[in-house]
Amino acid sequence: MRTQLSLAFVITLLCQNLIACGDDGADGTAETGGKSGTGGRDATGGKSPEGGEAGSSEPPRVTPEEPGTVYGIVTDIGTGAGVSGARVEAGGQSTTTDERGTFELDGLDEGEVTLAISAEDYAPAFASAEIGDTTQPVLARMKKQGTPQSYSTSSARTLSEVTEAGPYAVILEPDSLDTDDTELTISITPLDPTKEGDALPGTLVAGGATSTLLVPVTFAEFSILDSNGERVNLRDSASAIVELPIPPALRDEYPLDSKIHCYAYDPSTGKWEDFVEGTVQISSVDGTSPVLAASVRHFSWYGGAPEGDDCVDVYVKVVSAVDGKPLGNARVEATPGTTSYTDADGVALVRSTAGRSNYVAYQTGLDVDGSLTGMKGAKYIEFGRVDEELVGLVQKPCTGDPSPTPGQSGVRGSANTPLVLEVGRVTGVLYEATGILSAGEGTSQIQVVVQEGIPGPDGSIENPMTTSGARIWFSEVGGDSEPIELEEITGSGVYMPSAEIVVTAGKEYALSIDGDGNGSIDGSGSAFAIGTVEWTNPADGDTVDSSNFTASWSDTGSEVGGEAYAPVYQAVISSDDGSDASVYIGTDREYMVESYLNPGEGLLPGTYTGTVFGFSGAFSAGNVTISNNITGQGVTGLFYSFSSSSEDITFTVE
Amino acid sequence: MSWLVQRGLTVYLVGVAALLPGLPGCGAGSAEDAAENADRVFVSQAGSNTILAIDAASGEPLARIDVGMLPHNLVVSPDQRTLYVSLVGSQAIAEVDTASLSVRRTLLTAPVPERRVEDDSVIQAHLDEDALSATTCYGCHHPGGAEPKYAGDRPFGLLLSSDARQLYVTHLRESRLSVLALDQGEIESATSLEPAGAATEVVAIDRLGEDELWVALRAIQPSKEPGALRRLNATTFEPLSELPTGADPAALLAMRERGSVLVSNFESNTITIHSVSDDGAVSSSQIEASPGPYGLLALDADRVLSLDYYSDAVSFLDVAAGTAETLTLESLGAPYANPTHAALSSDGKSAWIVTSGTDGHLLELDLQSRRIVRDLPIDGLSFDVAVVSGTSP
Repeated sequence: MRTQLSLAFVITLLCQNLIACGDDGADGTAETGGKSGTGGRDATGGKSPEGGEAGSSEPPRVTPEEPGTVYGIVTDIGTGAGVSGARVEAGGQSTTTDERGTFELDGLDEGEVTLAISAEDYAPAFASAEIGDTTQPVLARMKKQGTPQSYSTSSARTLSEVTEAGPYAVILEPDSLDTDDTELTISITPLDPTKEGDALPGTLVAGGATSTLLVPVTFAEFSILDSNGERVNLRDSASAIVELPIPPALRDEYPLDSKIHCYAYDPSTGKWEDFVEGTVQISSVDGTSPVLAASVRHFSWYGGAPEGDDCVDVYVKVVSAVDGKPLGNARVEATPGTTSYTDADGVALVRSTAGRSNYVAYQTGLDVDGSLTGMKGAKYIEFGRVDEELVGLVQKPCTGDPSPTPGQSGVRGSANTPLVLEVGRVTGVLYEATGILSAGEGTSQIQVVVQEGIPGPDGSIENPMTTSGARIWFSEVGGDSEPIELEEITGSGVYMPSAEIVVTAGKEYALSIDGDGNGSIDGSGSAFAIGTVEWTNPADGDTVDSSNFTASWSDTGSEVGGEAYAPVYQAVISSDDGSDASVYIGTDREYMVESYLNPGEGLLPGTYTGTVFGFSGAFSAGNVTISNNITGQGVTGLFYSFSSSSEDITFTVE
Repeated sequence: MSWLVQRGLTVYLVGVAALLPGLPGCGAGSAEDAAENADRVFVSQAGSNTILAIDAASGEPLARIDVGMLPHNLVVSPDQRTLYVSLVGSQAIAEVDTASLSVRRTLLTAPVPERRVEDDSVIQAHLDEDALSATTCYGCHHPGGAEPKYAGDRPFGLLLSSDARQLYVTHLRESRLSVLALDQGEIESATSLEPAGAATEVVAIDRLGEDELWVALRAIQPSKEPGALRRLNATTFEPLSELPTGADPAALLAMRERGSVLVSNFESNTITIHSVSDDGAVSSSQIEASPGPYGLLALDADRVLSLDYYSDAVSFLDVAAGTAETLTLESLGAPYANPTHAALSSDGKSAWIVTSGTDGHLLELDLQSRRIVRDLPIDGLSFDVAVVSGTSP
């Protein structure tokens, strides 16, 4: 059965990793350049060259002062690897990223600039920078484009791309595109903001006189290319309907018939425009998934983002992971949230939504003597990230600019206790983690396997080696206890808790990963621990009425997890003689059983076997596209929890 | 700088606006004019639950009035003393005193339910919080308050009766037309309107003569299904007749002197003109609009300004000739995104235009020169605008 096969596959993968770790046993430190803090030398953020620390081996460091210059890196949001050969354009200037994904764009006019970034097999990306009297750092994330599908303009057609959240679709009417070319390809690139929000272009803020933070729910990019590879869009007078699935974790918040405000990204202005109201309804593709349906007039990045309710203003202090020195002029981004730059003390104030958010900081450095990069005068980027739910900060409306909160002190994220973001140099090494989480008394476990290597052209690691020396923290999201640092089984690249832990079904847990062990968190991800999943209807040996048969099951995690807990279940009911079957994949714990052979009708009479299975996180349980949910800079991976397959039940359908 | 492009019957005038934000004096809005003009301009800022009051002479904001969730349509009383605001997310109308710039009272557009529709169970929180005596849902349902944040059946379209003692309110979610008795501050009646095919949401209302109301119905969005216009007896709300219209009708404009009603069909990119003869017969014609026609503003007996949402433009419609001239709203090549509604200044010389993109702008368009003479900051995602004459209150 599929569920059993999936489980076996996971176990095999894990075993293979363990075996590989044992076989290799190498630490790979020489190639990474990132172990033992050696790779984490940092710029200070000073405005002029300065010498190294007296009596230290630190090289002289400087923040480059080149007016009208942007120095940045383009990475794959899924793998964290640099994207080479990407074209970067802004203000009439253009350049191409090198093999590590870095670029330098000069000659830009002062002011805010939008960078348009394109690369083969990726959805278009956009980034912003404020051009001033120093080099500005830019970190742009690209998302691998969805599967290209052919389309002829004369036909009405629904095209879709299916992920674990459900189908992303566009419904086109005949002759609605602004082209006579009949050989078109359409790519739908799904983006789940709960995992990949960093890849959304622009800033999701309703600005003007008083700004309001918008909170992304579901997004996708729609690219239509003609036979010459040129982008095609809708005719001026035409529209199309798009459907974007509501992520499982947000389905209780946005039930059917909810209205969600939708926006299209306008590359010419660098802003999200064309606000319309979309409606949550059932997918026209699979007939089960809740999707946000809306009318679009222009294909680009598109999605739903209602105004935020509760926000917090967070002080972030950016420091070097090596020497703890504050870094000025570092860019700080909260997601969902605002962007700011640190002052001379390394402090910035940003606004984010209450609850779990991620905060990243990055800064440009100059390797004066070539000791960091092997090239004198080379620029480099330092990066750090924290995923955290900051507890105790005063919640404010999401309207208005970030502002100091009088009387608030001693709370993490407040003015006198800022959230510290350590940044370390970005190397070309990619770390790939697989985290498996299981709950239950005596069976609680978290196990993470880490591999590393240099990414190939497709972003995946070539010749992966096991990673020793990574630092990995495991924590309950929103919990009171301190994060647990996992320990490596020596030389294996497998990281586990050193003592027994308790993982509670229904709770959400996070991994924070410092791949090169240089002190800065490079990537993170979270997943819910799934409970025990068992059939509640029918019971083994029951007889059910074909015309009115609702199958259901229980999950011991549901009570603790509450509304936020939304694992995906896969129920398979198949007749013993192979004559009929029914399959459900979704977040509900019951469904009206329909015949696979005769859709819309009940199962054919006979004897059936039922299996149900659940998973949470980035676990591939079916023919769907899975997005990595451990994301960051140079770190990627999968973090998931899956239930044991239930006891099979056998029942009769009449 | 401008140039003309002839395209069929429609003439497109593309303008590059010379803008000095907040500074009068570029074009028609001279300092002398500004001093005499004491209009107050009110903008519904749907994204921030506020009404922004602006002094038209100085362009300075006077007040930011917290009214309730999703303020949308605005209507001003004939004596200019009161601004009514439909609160789409709070099941209420806010009555704003245009002199003191404060909410005088709120009026429910439908009773607060005691029981849930789905299973008829008691909503205990409504009993505990004495919600049944509330005059808006905003007291409890707001960011950080009770769920859901947006409550009720989405009151949207507004129309004052000719004696200004009643306020007609259309509801999107329940296909209902409610009448509020303003003296008593109560719901006087509530009439359910039959769907017209897929069109169930009563999105707009206007009055043609004393005896006849027109309402526009649209399908739940997104949809390309046609909408409908329904003529109603203004006293009994009995249907008089029904007319098909394009997809997603957005706004109605009754031009009483002409005996015509215009409707902007947002999804179909058309504006339909329905003219009623003395014997009650209706003849219809259509203007191909710039993509995304939304609000409609009568400039005089024959001319209408159409707000072209998806075109980042406005169109000057000549209703008699059936033609349109389109003016792109832009500054130095950057568009003012998504215009929704406009209101006429009390001297009739300029139109105040809301552009509702994520960067909000309130533009003053000089109607003589067709140039944007002022650009005032408002919140992103704003919706409607109303002008209160400074001389009346």
